[in-house]
Amino acid sequence: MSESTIELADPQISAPSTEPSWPQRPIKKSISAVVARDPWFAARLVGFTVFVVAYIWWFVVRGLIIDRISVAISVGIFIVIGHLGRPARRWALLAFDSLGYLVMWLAYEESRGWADQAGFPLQVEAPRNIDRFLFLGTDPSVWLQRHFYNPDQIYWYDKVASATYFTHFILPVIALAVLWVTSHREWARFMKRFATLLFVACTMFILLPTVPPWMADRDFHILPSLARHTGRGFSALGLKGFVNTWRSALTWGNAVAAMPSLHAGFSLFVPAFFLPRIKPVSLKVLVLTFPIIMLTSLVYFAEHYVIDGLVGWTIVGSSFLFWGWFERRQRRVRADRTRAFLGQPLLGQPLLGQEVPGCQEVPGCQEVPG
Amino acid sequence: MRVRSVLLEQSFITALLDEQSPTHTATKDIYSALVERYRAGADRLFALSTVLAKLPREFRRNALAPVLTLHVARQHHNAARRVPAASSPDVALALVMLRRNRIRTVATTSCDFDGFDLVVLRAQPDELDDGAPPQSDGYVSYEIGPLPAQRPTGR
Repeated sequence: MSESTIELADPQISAPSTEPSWPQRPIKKSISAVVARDPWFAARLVGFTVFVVAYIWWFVVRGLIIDRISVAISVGIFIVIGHLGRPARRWALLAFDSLGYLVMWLAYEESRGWADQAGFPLQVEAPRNIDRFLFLGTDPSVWLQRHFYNPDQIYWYDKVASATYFTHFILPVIALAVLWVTSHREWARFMKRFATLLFVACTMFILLPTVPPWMADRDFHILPSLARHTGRGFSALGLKGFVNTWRSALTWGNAVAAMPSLHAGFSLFVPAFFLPRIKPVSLKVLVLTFPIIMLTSLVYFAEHYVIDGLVGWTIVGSSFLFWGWFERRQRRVRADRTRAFLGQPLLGQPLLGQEVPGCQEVPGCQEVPG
Repeated sequence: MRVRSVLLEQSFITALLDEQSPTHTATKDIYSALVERYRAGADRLFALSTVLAKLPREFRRNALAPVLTLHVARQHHNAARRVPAASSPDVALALVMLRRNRIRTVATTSCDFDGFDLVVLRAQPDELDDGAPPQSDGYVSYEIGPLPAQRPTGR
Protein backbone atom coordinates (compact mmCIF):
# COMPACT_ATOMS: atom_id res chain seq x y z
CA MET A 1 0.00 0.00 0.00
CA SER A 2 1.43 3.30 -0.99
CA GLU A 3 1.81 6.15 1.41
CA SER A 4 -0.85 8.17 -0.37
CA THR A 5 -3.34 5.31 -0.08
CA ILE A 6 -2.75 5.08 3.65
CA GLU A 7 -3.50 8.78 3.99
CA LEU A 8 -6.76 8.45 2.09
CA ALA A 9 -7.75 5.48 4.21
CA ASP A 10 -7.36 7.49 7.36
CA PRO A 11 -10.92 7.49 8.82
CA GLN A 12 -10.46 10.98 10.17
CA ILE A 13 -10.02 12.23 6.64
CA SER A 14 -12.16 10.00 4.52
CA ALA A 15 -15.22 9.53 6.75
CA PRO A 16 -17.98 12.09 6.28
CA SER A 17 -18.21 14.49 9.17
CA THR A 18 -21.12 13.96 11.51
CA GLU A 19 -20.72 17.44 13.06
CA PRO A 20 -23.42 19.92 12.01
CA SER A 21 -22.03 22.66 9.82
CA TRP A 22 -22.89 25.94 11.52
CA PRO A 23 -22.73 29.08 9.44
CA GLN A 24 -19.58 31.02 10.15
CA ARG A 25 -20.21 34.15 12.16
CA PRO A 26 -18.73 37.02 10.21
CA ILE A 27 -15.80 38.86 11.64
CA LYS A 28 -16.92 42.44 12.13
CA LYS A 29 -14.78 45.48 12.43
CA SER A 30 -15.01 47.42 15.62
CA ILE A 31 -15.88 51.06 15.04
CA SER A 32 -13.12 52.01 17.43
CA ALA A 33 -10.70 50.27 15.08
CA VAL A 34 -11.67 52.39 12.08
CA VAL A 35 -12.67 55.69 13.70
CA ALA A 36 -9.86 57.40 15.57
CA ARG A 37 -10.48 58.42 19.16
CA ASP A 38 -11.22 62.07 19.83
CA PRO A 39 -7.70 63.58 20.03
CA TRP A 40 -8.76 65.64 23.06
CA PHE A 41 -9.77 62.55 25.01
CA ALA A 42 -6.29 62.13 26.53
CA ALA A 43 -6.18 65.80 27.56
CA ARG A 44 -9.55 65.47 29.29
CA LEU A 45 -8.48 62.26 31.02
CA VAL A 46 -5.28 63.85 32.35
CA GLY A 47 -7.27 66.93 33.42
CA PHE A 48 -9.80 64.84 35.33
CA THR A 49 -7.05 62.83 37.03
CA VAL A 50 -5.29 66.00 38.18
CA PHE A 51 -8.63 67.44 39.33
CA VAL A 52 -9.56 64.38 41.38
CA VAL A 53 -6.12 64.20 43.02
CA ALA A 54 -6.23 67.92 43.83
CA TYR A 55 -9.79 67.63 45.18
CA ILE A 56 -8.89 64.73 47.47
CA TRP A 57 -5.78 66.56 48.68
CA TRP A 58 -7.86 69.65 49.44
CA PHE A 59 -10.49 67.53 51.20
CA VAL A 60 -7.94 65.88 53.49
CA VAL A 61 -5.80 68.96 54.19
CA ARG A 62 -8.23 71.89 54.05
CA GLY A 63 -11.62 70.23 54.38
CA LEU A 64 -14.57 69.73 52.09
CA ILE A 65 -15.61 72.55 49.79
CA ILE A 66 -19.10 73.63 50.80
CA ASP A 67 -19.40 77.39 50.42
CA ARG A 68 -21.29 78.33 47.27
CA ILE A 69 -18.47 80.26 45.57
CA SER A 70 -15.87 77.53 46.08
CA VAL A 71 -18.33 74.87 44.95
CA ALA A 72 -19.11 76.91 41.83
CA ILE A 73 -15.39 77.33 41.07
CA SER A 74 -14.58 73.63 41.57
CA VAL A 75 -17.57 72.51 39.49
CA GLY A 76 -16.66 75.10 36.85
CA ILE A 77 -13.10 73.73 36.58
CA PHE A 78 -14.44 70.17 36.31
CA ILE A 79 -16.87 71.13 33.55
CA VAL A 80 -14.30 73.13 31.62
CA ILE A 81 -11.99 70.08 31.68
CA GLY A 82 -14.87 67.95 30.44
CA HIS A 83 -15.48 70.35 27.55
CA LEU A 84 -11.87 70.59 26.35
CA GLY A 85 -11.82 70.13 22.60
CA ARG A 86 -15.60 70.05 22.27
CA PRO A 87 -17.26 71.90 19.38
CA ALA A 88 -18.15 75.59 19.78
CA ARG A 89 -21.83 74.69 19.92
CA ARG A 90 -21.27 72.68 23.11
CA TRP A 91 -19.47 75.63 24.69
CA ALA A 92 -22.32 77.94 23.78
CA LEU A 93 -24.77 75.48 25.30
CA LEU A 94 -22.61 75.30 28.41
CA ALA A 95 -22.66 79.09 28.76
CA PHE A 96 -26.44 79.12 28.41
CA ASP A 97 -26.87 76.29 30.93
CA SER A 98 -24.51 77.98 33.38
CA LEU A 99 -26.64 81.10 33.25
CA GLY A 100 -29.75 79.08 34.12
CA TYR A 101 -27.88 77.30 36.89
CA LEU A 102 -26.65 80.62 38.29
CA VAL A 103 -30.16 82.10 38.29
CA MET A 104 -31.43 79.01 40.12
CA TRP A 105 -28.84 79.27 42.91
CA LEU A 106 -29.21 83.04 43.23
CA ALA A 107 -32.96 82.59 43.63
CA TYR A 108 -32.27 79.92 46.25
CA GLU A 109 -29.91 82.25 48.14
CA GLU A 110 -32.29 85.19 47.85
CA SER A 111 -35.18 83.15 49.20
CA ARG A 112 -33.43 83.31 52.58
CA GLY A 113 -33.84 87.07 52.63
CA TRP A 114 -37.41 86.84 51.38
CA ALA A 115 -38.19 84.39 54.16
CA ASP A 116 -37.00 86.93 56.74
CA GLN A 117 -38.98 89.77 55.15
CA ALA A 118 -42.20 87.84 54.56
CA GLY A 119 -42.72 87.32 58.27
CA PHE A 120 -44.88 84.23 58.15
CA PRO A 121 -45.48 82.68 61.58
CA LEU A 122 -42.79 80.37 62.87
CA GLN A 123 -43.83 76.72 63.20
CA VAL A 124 -42.58 75.64 66.60
CA GLU A 125 -44.88 72.99 68.00
CA ALA A 126 -46.63 71.66 64.89
CA PRO A 127 -43.73 69.53 63.57
CA ARG A 128 -43.01 68.20 67.05
CA ASN A 129 -46.68 67.26 67.47
CA ILE A 130 -46.79 65.52 64.08
CA ASP A 131 -43.69 63.49 65.00
CA ARG A 132 -45.25 62.58 68.33
CA PHE A 133 -48.40 61.49 66.50
CA LEU A 134 -46.38 59.39 64.02
CA PHE A 135 -44.37 57.74 66.79
CA LEU A 136 -47.20 57.23 69.28
CA GLY A 137 -46.21 59.97 71.68
CA THR A 138 -42.45 59.56 71.44
CA ASP A 139 -40.07 62.28 70.24
CA PRO A 140 -37.77 60.41 67.80
CA SER A 141 -34.77 62.75 68.34
CA VAL A 142 -35.06 62.47 72.08
CA TRP A 143 -35.47 58.70 71.96
CA LEU A 144 -32.48 58.22 69.63
CA GLN A 145 -30.19 60.45 71.67
CA ARG A 146 -31.27 58.84 74.92
CA HIS A 147 -30.45 55.36 73.58
CA PHE A 148 -27.41 55.98 71.38
CA TYR A 149 -25.78 59.30 72.21
CA ASN A 150 -22.90 59.39 74.64
CA PRO A 151 -21.17 62.80 75.00
CA ASP A 152 -17.98 61.14 76.22
CA GLN A 153 -17.72 58.48 73.56
CA ILE A 154 -17.88 58.49 69.76
CA TYR A 155 -19.19 55.20 68.39
CA TRP A 156 -18.94 53.79 64.86
CA TYR A 157 -22.49 54.82 64.09
CA ASP A 158 -21.68 58.42 65.03
CA LYS A 159 -19.04 58.38 62.29
CA VAL A 160 -21.39 56.73 59.78
CA ALA A 161 -24.15 59.22 60.55
CA SER A 162 -21.76 62.18 60.30
CA ALA A 163 -20.29 60.97 57.01
CA THR A 164 -23.80 60.40 55.64
CA TYR A 165 -24.85 63.90 56.70
CA PHE A 166 -21.91 65.52 54.91
CA THR A 167 -22.49 63.66 51.62
CA HIS A 168 -25.26 66.23 51.15
CA PHE A 169 -22.62 68.77 50.18
CA ILE A 170 -20.92 66.67 47.52
CA LEU A 171 -23.25 63.98 46.17
CA PRO A 172 -25.69 66.16 44.17
CA VAL A 173 -22.84 68.36 42.97
CA ILE A 174 -20.83 65.37 41.72
CA ALA A 175 -23.89 63.86 40.02
CA LEU A 176 -24.70 67.17 38.37
CA ALA A 177 -21.14 67.84 37.20
CA VAL A 178 -20.67 64.31 35.82
CA LEU A 179 -23.96 64.48 33.92
CA TRP A 180 -23.07 67.93 32.62
CA VAL A 181 -19.90 66.52 31.11
CA THR A 182 -21.17 63.15 29.90
CA SER A 183 -24.72 63.74 28.67
CA HIS A 184 -26.41 67.06 28.26
CA ARG A 185 -29.75 65.32 27.74
CA GLU A 186 -29.52 63.53 31.09
CA TRP A 187 -28.27 66.70 32.73
CA ALA A 188 -31.39 68.51 31.52
CA ARG A 189 -33.61 65.71 32.90
CA PHE A 190 -31.77 65.91 36.23
CA MET A 191 -31.96 69.69 36.40
CA LYS A 192 -35.69 69.87 35.68
CA ARG A 193 -36.39 67.63 38.64
CA PHE A 194 -33.75 69.27 40.83
CA ALA A 195 -34.94 72.82 40.12
CA THR A 196 -38.51 71.75 40.91
CA LEU A 197 -37.39 70.36 44.25
CA LEU A 198 -35.49 73.55 45.11
CA PHE A 199 -38.34 75.79 43.98
CA VAL A 200 -40.94 73.99 46.09
CA ALA A 201 -38.55 73.81 49.06
CA CYS A 202 -37.74 77.54 48.89
CA THR A 203 -41.41 78.41 48.65
CA MET A 204 -42.05 76.34 51.75
CA PHE A 205 -39.11 77.96 53.57
CA ILE A 206 -40.83 81.32 53.01
CA LEU A 207 -44.40 80.26 53.76
CA LEU A 208 -43.64 77.78 56.50
CA PRO A 209 -40.55 78.75 58.53
CA THR A 210 -40.07 75.80 60.85
CA VAL A 211 -37.97 75.38 63.94
CA PRO A 212 -35.64 72.34 63.97
CA PRO A 213 -35.51 70.11 67.09
CA TRP A 214 -32.23 71.53 68.44
CA MET A 215 -33.72 75.04 68.34
CA ALA A 216 -37.01 73.83 69.81
CA ASP A 217 -34.97 72.71 72.80
CA ARG A 218 -32.48 75.62 73.01
CA ASP A 219 -34.79 78.60 72.32
CA PHE A 220 -38.31 77.36 72.99
CA HIS A 221 -37.80 74.63 75.61
CA ILE A 222 -40.52 72.40 74.20
CA LEU A 223 -38.27 69.33 74.01
CA PRO A 224 -35.98 67.76 76.59
CA SER A 225 -32.28 68.58 76.33
CA LEU A 226 -30.91 67.70 72.90
CA ALA A 227 -27.34 67.77 71.62
CA ARG A 228 -26.54 69.00 68.12
CA HIS A 229 -23.54 66.76 67.64
CA THR A 230 -23.44 66.62 63.83
CA GLY A 231 -19.74 67.29 63.28
CA ARG A 232 -18.44 65.05 66.08
CA GLY A 233 -18.20 61.86 64.03
CA PHE A 234 -16.55 63.69 61.17
CA SER A 235 -13.97 65.24 63.49
CA ALA A 236 -13.27 61.77 64.82
CA LEU A 237 -12.46 60.71 61.27
CA GLY A 238 -9.72 63.34 61.22
CA LEU A 239 -11.56 65.80 58.97
CA LYS A 240 -11.60 68.77 61.34
CA GLY A 241 -11.01 71.34 58.59
CA PHE A 242 -14.32 70.57 57.04
CA VAL A 243 -16.22 70.72 60.31
CA ASN A 244 -14.83 74.22 60.94
CA THR A 245 -15.96 75.33 57.46
CA TRP A 246 -19.36 73.81 58.08
CA ARG A 247 -19.73 75.58 61.44
CA SER A 248 -18.96 78.92 59.82
CA ALA A 249 -21.46 78.11 57.06
CA LEU A 250 -24.14 77.57 59.68
CA THR A 251 -23.86 81.20 60.74
CA TRP A 252 -25.14 82.46 57.37
CA GLY A 253 -27.64 79.65 56.88
CA ASN A 254 -31.37 80.02 57.43
CA ALA A 255 -31.84 78.30 60.78
CA VAL A 256 -35.61 77.97 60.42
CA ALA A 257 -35.51 76.40 56.95
CA ALA A 258 -36.25 72.97 58.35
CA MET A 259 -39.39 72.11 56.40
CA PRO A 260 -38.77 70.30 54.06
CA SER A 261 -35.41 68.71 54.76
CA LEU A 262 -33.22 69.17 51.69
CA HIS A 263 -30.70 66.78 53.25
CA ALA A 264 -33.34 64.06 53.16
CA GLY A 265 -34.59 65.23 49.77
CA PHE A 266 -31.18 65.18 48.07
CA SER A 267 -30.33 61.82 49.63
CA LEU A 268 -33.35 60.31 47.87
CA PHE A 269 -33.07 62.42 44.73
CA VAL A 270 -29.66 61.24 43.53
CA PRO A 271 -30.23 57.49 44.07
CA ALA A 272 -33.73 57.76 42.58
CA PHE A 273 -32.37 59.40 39.43
CA PHE A 274 -29.79 56.69 38.84
CA LEU A 275 -31.95 53.78 40.07
CA PRO A 276 -33.23 52.75 36.58
CA ARG A 277 -29.60 52.24 35.48
CA ILE A 278 -28.87 49.85 38.33
CA LYS A 279 -29.72 46.29 37.38
CA PRO A 280 -29.19 44.05 40.46
CA VAL A 281 -32.22 44.29 42.74
CA SER A 282 -29.99 43.84 45.80
CA LEU A 283 -27.96 46.89 44.77
CA LYS A 284 -31.16 48.86 44.19
CA VAL A 285 -32.29 48.02 47.72
CA LEU A 286 -28.87 48.94 49.10
CA VAL A 287 -28.94 52.29 47.32
CA LEU A 288 -32.41 53.02 48.67
CA THR A 289 -31.27 52.45 52.24
CA PHE A 290 -29.13 55.59 51.89
CA PRO A 291 -32.01 58.08 52.31
CA ILE A 292 -33.23 56.09 55.30
CA ILE A 293 -29.79 56.28 56.92
CA MET A 294 -29.72 60.00 56.12
CA LEU A 295 -33.08 60.70 57.75
CA THR A 296 -32.19 58.62 60.79
CA SER A 297 -28.93 60.60 61.09
CA LEU A 298 -30.75 63.92 60.78
CA VAL A 299 -33.16 62.96 63.54
CA TYR A 300 -30.35 61.57 65.70
CA PHE A 301 -28.43 64.86 65.36
CA ALA A 302 -31.61 66.81 66.21
CA GLU A 303 -31.21 68.65 62.89
CA HIS A 304 -34.68 67.70 61.62
CA TYR A 305 -37.96 66.16 62.64
CA VAL A 306 -39.02 63.00 60.82
CA ILE A 307 -41.87 64.89 59.17
CA ASP A 308 -39.34 67.31 57.60
CA GLY A 309 -37.66 64.39 55.89
CA LEU A 310 -40.92 62.77 54.83
CA VAL A 311 -42.06 66.03 53.24
CA GLY A 312 -38.69 66.30 51.46
CA TRP A 313 -39.11 62.78 50.07
CA THR A 314 -42.68 63.57 49.01
CA ILE A 315 -41.51 66.60 47.03
CA VAL A 316 -38.80 64.49 45.36
CA GLY A 317 -41.38 61.83 44.48
CA SER A 318 -43.81 64.43 43.17
CA SER A 319 -41.11 66.08 41.08
CA PHE A 320 -40.15 62.73 39.51
CA LEU A 321 -43.80 61.83 38.90
CA PHE A 322 -44.58 65.19 37.33
CA TRP A 323 -41.58 65.24 34.99
CA GLY A 324 -42.01 61.55 34.16
CA TRP A 325 -45.61 62.27 33.15
CA PHE A 326 -44.57 65.37 31.22
CA GLU A 327 -41.86 63.52 29.28
CA ARG A 328 -44.22 60.62 28.48
CA ARG A 329 -46.80 63.13 27.23
CA GLN A 330 -44.18 64.88 25.12
CA ARG A 331 -43.18 61.56 23.54
CA ARG A 332 -46.80 60.67 22.88
CA VAL A 333 -47.53 64.03 21.23
CA ARG A 334 -44.48 63.73 18.98
CA ALA A 335 -45.23 60.11 18.09
CA ASP A 336 -48.84 61.02 17.26
CA ARG A 337 -47.67 63.88 15.08
CA THR A 338 -45.49 61.42 13.19
CA ARG A 339 -48.29 58.88 12.86
CA ALA A 340 -50.67 61.53 11.60
CA PHE A 341 -48.13 62.68 9.02
CA LEU A 342 -47.48 59.13 7.89
CA GLY A 343 -51.23 58.53 7.64
CA GLN A 344 -51.41 55.98 10.44
CA PRO A 345 -54.05 55.75 13.17
CA LEU A 346 -53.20 57.43 16.47
CA LEU A 347 -52.65 55.29 19.52
CA GLY A 348 -53.52 55.97 23.11
CA GLN A 349 -51.27 56.50 26.08
CA PRO A 350 -48.60 53.77 26.24
CA LEU A 351 -48.93 51.51 29.23
CA LEU A 352 -46.07 50.92 31.59
CA GLY A 353 -44.29 47.69 30.73
CA GLN A 354 -46.08 47.50 27.39
CA GLU A 355 -44.44 45.26 24.79
CA VAL A 356 -42.68 47.28 22.14
CA PRO A 357 -42.14 45.94 18.64
CA GLY A 358 -38.75 44.65 17.63
CA CYS A 359 -37.30 44.37 14.14
CA GLN A 360 -38.37 40.71 13.81
CA GLU A 361 -42.03 41.77 14.05
CA VAL A 362 -41.71 44.32 11.26
CA PRO A 363 -42.10 43.08 7.69
CA GLY A 364 -39.21 44.16 5.53
CA CYS A 365 -36.84 44.65 8.44
CA GLN A 366 -33.63 42.70 8.60
CA GLU A 367 -31.66 42.92 11.80
CA VAL A 368 -27.94 42.31 11.41
CA PRO A 369 -26.60 41.69 14.92
CA GLY A 370 -23.55 43.59 16.06
CA MET B 1 -35.59 49.36 30.89
CA ARG B 2 -32.39 50.41 29.15
CA VAL B 3 -33.08 53.01 26.48
CA ARG B 4 -31.61 52.13 23.09
CA SER B 5 -30.19 54.87 20.89
CA VAL B 6 -30.79 54.47 17.16
CA LEU B 7 -29.23 56.55 14.40
CA LEU B 8 -31.48 57.03 11.39
CA GLU B 9 -28.94 57.04 8.61
CA GLN B 10 -29.23 59.24 5.53
CA SER B 11 -30.42 56.46 3.17
CA PHE B 12 -33.15 55.53 5.66
CA ILE B 13 -34.50 59.07 5.93
CA THR B 14 -34.27 59.56 2.17
CA ALA B 15 -36.28 56.38 1.59
CA LEU B 16 -38.82 57.49 4.19
CA LEU B 17 -39.28 60.78 2.38
CA ASP B 18 -39.29 59.37 -1.14
CA GLU B 19 -42.50 57.47 -1.88
CA GLN B 20 -41.00 56.16 -5.13
CA SER B 21 -38.10 54.51 -3.34
CA PRO B 22 -38.15 50.67 -3.55
CA THR B 23 -37.55 50.54 0.20
CA HIS B 24 -40.15 53.18 1.10
CA THR B 25 -42.78 50.80 2.52
CA ALA B 26 -40.29 48.78 4.53
CA THR B 27 -38.65 51.95 5.80
CA LYS B 28 -42.03 53.31 6.84
CA ASP B 29 -42.85 50.07 8.68
CA ILE B 30 -39.53 50.04 10.50
CA TYR B 31 -39.85 53.72 11.34
CA SER B 32 -43.38 53.18 12.70
CA ALA B 33 -42.04 50.43 14.94
CA LEU B 34 -39.19 52.68 16.08
CA VAL B 35 -41.63 55.50 16.81
CA GLU B 36 -43.74 53.06 18.80
CA ARG B 37 -40.69 52.08 20.82
CA TYR B 38 -39.84 55.77 21.25
CA ARG B 39 -43.35 56.42 22.54
CA ALA B 40 -42.92 53.64 25.08
CA GLY B 41 -39.56 55.09 26.15
CA ALA B 42 -37.57 52.14 24.78
CA ASP B 43 -35.74 53.98 21.99
CA ARG B 44 -34.16 57.35 21.37
CA LEU B 45 -33.97 58.32 17.71
CA PHE B 46 -31.19 60.44 16.26
CA ALA B 47 -30.22 61.84 12.90
CA LEU B 48 -27.27 63.95 11.80
CA SER B 49 -27.75 67.69 11.47
CA THR B 50 -26.20 67.51 8.01
CA VAL B 51 -28.99 65.14 6.93
CA LEU B 52 -31.83 66.97 8.66
CA ALA B 53 -30.75 70.32 7.23
CA LYS B 54 -31.54 69.12 3.72
CA LEU B 55 -35.10 68.04 4.51
CA PRO B 56 -38.30 70.03 3.97
CA ARG B 57 -39.23 71.85 7.16
CA GLU B 58 -42.69 70.28 7.24
CA PHE B 59 -41.24 66.78 7.07
CA ARG B 60 -38.70 67.52 9.81
CA ARG B 61 -41.32 68.99 12.15
CA ASN B 62 -43.94 66.30 11.71
CA ALA B 63 -42.67 63.01 10.34
CA LEU B 64 -39.39 63.32 12.23
CA ALA B 65 -40.81 64.99 15.35
CA PRO B 66 -39.36 62.31 17.69
CA VAL B 67 -35.91 62.50 16.10
CA LEU B 68 -33.18 64.30 18.02
CA THR B 69 -30.42 66.14 16.21
CA LEU B 70 -26.80 65.09 16.43
CA HIS B 71 -24.96 68.28 15.61
CA VAL B 72 -22.06 67.76 13.27
CA ALA B 73 -19.09 70.08 13.74
CA ARG B 74 -15.98 70.66 11.69
CA GLN B 75 -13.98 68.34 13.93
CA HIS B 76 -16.37 65.50 13.03
CA HIS B 77 -15.88 66.15 9.31
CA ASN B 78 -12.12 66.16 9.87
CA ALA B 79 -12.32 62.86 11.74
CA ALA B 80 -14.52 61.40 8.98
CA ARG B 81 -11.84 62.15 6.39
CA ARG B 82 -9.52 59.82 8.28
CA VAL B 83 -11.88 56.81 8.19
CA PRO B 84 -10.47 54.49 5.53
CA ALA B 85 -12.99 51.67 5.84
CA ALA B 86 -16.07 53.69 4.93
CA SER B 87 -17.63 53.35 1.49
CA SER B 88 -18.54 57.05 1.25
CA PRO B 89 -17.96 60.33 3.12
CA ASP B 90 -21.52 60.19 4.50
CA VAL B 91 -20.97 56.71 5.91
CA ALA B 92 -17.65 57.85 7.39
CA LEU B 93 -19.36 60.80 9.05
CA ALA B 94 -22.09 58.53 10.40
CA LEU B 95 -19.44 56.18 11.82
CA VAL B 96 -17.68 59.07 13.54
CA MET B 97 -20.93 60.30 15.07
CA LEU B 98 -21.88 56.78 16.13
CA ARG B 99 -18.61 56.42 17.99
CA ARG B 100 -18.56 59.89 19.53
CA ASN B 101 -22.14 59.52 20.77
CA ARG B 102 -21.82 55.84 21.78
CA ILE B 103 -24.73 54.77 19.57
CA ARG B 104 -24.78 51.05 18.73
CA THR B 105 -27.83 50.72 16.47
CA VAL B 106 -28.30 52.16 13.02
CA ALA B 107 -31.40 52.11 10.79
CA THR B 108 -30.50 52.11 7.13
CA THR B 109 -31.41 50.79 3.71
CA SER B 110 -27.85 50.08 2.65
CA CYS B 111 -25.33 47.38 3.54
CA ASP B 112 -22.60 49.90 4.35
CA PHE B 113 -22.80 49.30 8.10
CA ASP B 114 -23.08 45.51 8.11
CA GLY B 115 -19.35 45.02 8.42
CA PHE B 116 -19.11 46.89 11.71
CA ASP B 117 -19.93 45.80 15.24
CA LEU B 118 -23.29 47.55 15.17
CA VAL B 119 -26.86 46.35 15.26
CA VAL B 120 -28.14 47.22 11.80
CA LEU B 121 -31.87 47.56 11.15
CA ARG B 122 -32.03 47.32 7.39
CA ALA B 123 -35.09 48.00 5.27
CA GLN B 124 -35.50 45.50 2.44
CA PRO B 125 -36.78 46.55 -1.00
CA ASP B 126 -40.58 46.34 -1.31
CA GLU B 127 -40.75 44.03 -4.31
CA LEU B 128 -38.30 41.25 -4.97
CA ASP B 129 -38.41 39.76 -8.44
CA ASP B 130 -37.45 36.18 -7.64
CA GLY B 131 -37.55 35.94 -3.92
CA ALA B 132 -33.78 36.26 -3.75
CA PRO B 133 -32.27 38.28 -0.98
CA PRO B 134 -31.22 41.78 -1.92
CA GLN B 135 -27.58 42.10 -2.74
CA SER B 136 -25.43 44.86 -1.48
CA ASP B 137 -23.20 46.85 -3.76
CA GLY B 138 -20.52 44.23 -4.09
CA TYR B 139 -20.12 43.71 -0.35
CA VAL B 140 -21.77 40.47 0.69
CA SER B 141 -18.87 38.30 1.79
CA TYR B 142 -19.92 38.18 5.44
CA GLU B 143 -23.65 37.54 4.95
CA ILE B 144 -24.87 34.77 7.24
CA GLY B 145 -27.54 32.45 6.02
CA PRO B 146 -30.65 33.38 4.10
CA LEU B 147 -32.38 36.67 4.63
CA PRO B 148 -35.94 36.68 6.03
CA ALA B 149 -38.72 35.60 3.73
CA GLN B 150 -40.26 38.03 1.30
CA ARG B 151 -42.79 40.38 2.77
CA PRO B 152 -46.35 39.13 2.56
CA THR B 153 -48.28 40.62 -0.31
CA GLY B 154 -51.36 42.79 0.06
CA ARG B 155 -49.82 45.32 2.35
